[in-house]
Amino acid sequence: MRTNRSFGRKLFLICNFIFLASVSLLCLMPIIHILALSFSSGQAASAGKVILWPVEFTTAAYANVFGKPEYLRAFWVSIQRVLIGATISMFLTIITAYPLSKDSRQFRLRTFYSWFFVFTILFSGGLIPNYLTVKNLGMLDTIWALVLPGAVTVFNVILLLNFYRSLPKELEESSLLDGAGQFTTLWKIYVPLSLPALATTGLFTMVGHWNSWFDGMIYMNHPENYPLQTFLQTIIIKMDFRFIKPERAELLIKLSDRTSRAAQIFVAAFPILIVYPFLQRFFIKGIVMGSVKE
Amino acid sequence: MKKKSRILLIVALILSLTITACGKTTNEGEKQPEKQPETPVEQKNEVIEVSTVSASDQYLKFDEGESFEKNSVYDAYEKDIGVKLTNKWVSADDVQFKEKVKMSIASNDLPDFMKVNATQLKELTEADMIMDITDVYDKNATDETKKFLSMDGGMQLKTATFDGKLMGIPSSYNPYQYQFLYVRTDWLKKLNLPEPKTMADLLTIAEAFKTKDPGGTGKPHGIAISKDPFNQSTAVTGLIAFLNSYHAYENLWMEDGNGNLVNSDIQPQVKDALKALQEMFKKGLIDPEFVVKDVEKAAELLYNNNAGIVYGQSWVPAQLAKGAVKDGKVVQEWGVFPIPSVDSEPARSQIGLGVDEYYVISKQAKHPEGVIKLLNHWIVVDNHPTPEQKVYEYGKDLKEKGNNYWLLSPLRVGKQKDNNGEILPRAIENKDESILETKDHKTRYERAMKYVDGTDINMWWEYLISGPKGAYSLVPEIQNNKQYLQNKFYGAPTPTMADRQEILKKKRDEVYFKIMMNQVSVDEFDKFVEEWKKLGGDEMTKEVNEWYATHKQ
Repeated sequence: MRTNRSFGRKLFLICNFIFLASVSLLCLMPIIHILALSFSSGQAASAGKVILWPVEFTTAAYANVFGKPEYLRAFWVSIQRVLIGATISMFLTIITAYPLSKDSRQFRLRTFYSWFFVFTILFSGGLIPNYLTVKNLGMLDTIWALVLPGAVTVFNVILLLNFYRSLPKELEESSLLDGAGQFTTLWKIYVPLSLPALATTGLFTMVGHWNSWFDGMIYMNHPENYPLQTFLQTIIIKMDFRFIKPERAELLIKLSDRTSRAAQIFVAAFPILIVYPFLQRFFIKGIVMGSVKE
Repeated sequence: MKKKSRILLIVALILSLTITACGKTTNEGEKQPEKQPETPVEQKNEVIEVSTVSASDQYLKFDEGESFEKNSVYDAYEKDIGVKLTNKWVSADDVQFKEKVKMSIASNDLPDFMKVNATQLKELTEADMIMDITDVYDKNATDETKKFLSMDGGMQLKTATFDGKLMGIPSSYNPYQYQFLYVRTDWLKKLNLPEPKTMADLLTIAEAFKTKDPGGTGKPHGIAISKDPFNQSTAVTGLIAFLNSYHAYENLWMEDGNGNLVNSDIQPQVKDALKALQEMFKKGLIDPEFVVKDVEKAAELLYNNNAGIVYGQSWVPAQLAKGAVKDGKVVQEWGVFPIPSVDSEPARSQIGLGVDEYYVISKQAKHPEGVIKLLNHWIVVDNHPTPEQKVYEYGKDLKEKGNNYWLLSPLRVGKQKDNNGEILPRAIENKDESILETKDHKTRYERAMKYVDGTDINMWWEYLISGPKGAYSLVPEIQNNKQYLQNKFYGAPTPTMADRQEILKKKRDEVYFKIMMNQVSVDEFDKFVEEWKKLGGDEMTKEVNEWYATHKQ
């Protein structure tokens, strides 16, 4: 693998390396900063002394976080949401993508359905109609309000659909010839073959569920049912000072828990940080495989 | 074979998780209908049910076994006035509360009563979704309530009146919230400087703080400012009080002397103030990074001994305490001063109306009188509670333990005027408990005394608010000499205002900042005035004056 590298090539590689390194450093810094904050003492944090290394090391913030029942409850809601949401979502994505990957001779209304799904990418009902629908279906304040709307992500369907199309037709033919029905073909042949693509879409779904907070706020009528990110939003958003009436001023003195905020953010980001490296190899392969066709 | 069984196992696991999760949600669903038959609607014939929506709070700590559904405050309301409270929803905090209120309005799903802002009050009135409560209020409000809500001459009630119909109850508070000047007095002593009496004094002090670096940090600045200094919600580290020193005001409608209203943002006095700020910036008295610092970040300058001057409201000592008190010792000494004036005429503090939110009653409400009962009762228990009525503040144990149970009362109004300034400094100085009148007096007195007798030095901040040289002690003088200016326009936003206000504010801040940071000459202000007029300002002025013609007293 020895190639004669010209000076220009080397220069490019060096510049490229420096550029990419600084970009990743930029991404990394805020995380390290938050981590350092979460391990620092409250006074050092509010005096702005903490940059990238904890000052006056303490784990008090973490003790505080894990001692908070509402935090742990919200964490549990989020875990439920990710598991239920991703399961339902993956199932629906697979059974939607499969028939749409057939051509119109096999599935006559294919074009209509394809457009039907694409339409939902381009236009949506808007917030209020969504809310009304969820409300009238009686899903308010239940986990289903977080899981069912948006269970079919059309982007993921298209990704998977293209992947199925790229598989040789002979596979399907031979399995039909051997007496399998469409369902068996799908679950025994297509799904195992599409694991990389499924890992990718699965990761997208999980991250999406883990990170979304707005629906939690809109659909949940009691803070006990909030998922983690909705709960976090309440502690991170700054107090609106106009609404500090004299009666509230006393609360201000207690507001300096920056370290605990940092700890809560970090704990919340942790599960996703763990999931990424494991799925990452599928991740890159998955997107590319779905997009290239012969 | 092995692989197959593994997949089976995974599926089974996922399924069992889903099922347990389902099981839990249905359980919760079942619980609620169970509860409802228990409600004693039939048993006590006068108990009426009123629904509302609530915001929880980080600092609201429920007693064991209590929640928004069932707690000692709601029970007390039911027992005392026969109003049973239910919540359509509860949000986690105030910010989310506002979002959810928007949803409730948009989906036409109002509870019997709820808190809305001024714009929503107008929209709901126009959409005919809320009740005209003129008669209900008149018949059911006690004399005490009526007196309480019109302490300011009925101004706040008027803001809730449309075509002679009262559409909401103002969630009132004291509008006389002045801004003060906070200066490090230990530094003044160290550098042998006088207390700031005039604007010139203040500028000298700021310069000395910069050049002599009394904090010894090596990177001193004169004054602490955060990124949104010309916004009234920036109640500390702002610059509105600085404008007031130059007789300039932020977005206030004031009389021009001919009986018409003009907007303060384009008055020539602003130019003087901006010029002064530019001078300060050139001398390095202002941290050039202020444009990216939020309040908490800007306040670090104060905690770190990098700045010793800040403007803010009476409660600012509570903020300063984070830097001023360390390990039970006061390490920074602060003094509070009235805002100085640039000339011989005293500066006037700009103040709002003391109301930006209203309680409205839905058209569908069956028992509007219940809401007024809640109002009557709140005023009683908040201002002169009997020993048992302490339950509304502290819960069933009737004693302070930091659980903030007052947040549970669904309808709260505050006093439009207080006499803290007359009473508290005197009481604390003479350690005289007997002259205290209100509950607020008593809590503040107790806290300040803890600092005075040394049991809790952390209460230093209350002493600087309420003590003999505290912020409140300056209030009577301002009040008596009428050194304040109130917005003359108190209607709902006019059409152009709703449309253009934000853009004009953005434009204004941009120009103000550029002048302040010495990027353009101060004459740029004149150009801005022209542009302001063209971009809808003239239109706004016209609309406001039309309104003024019909509302002038």
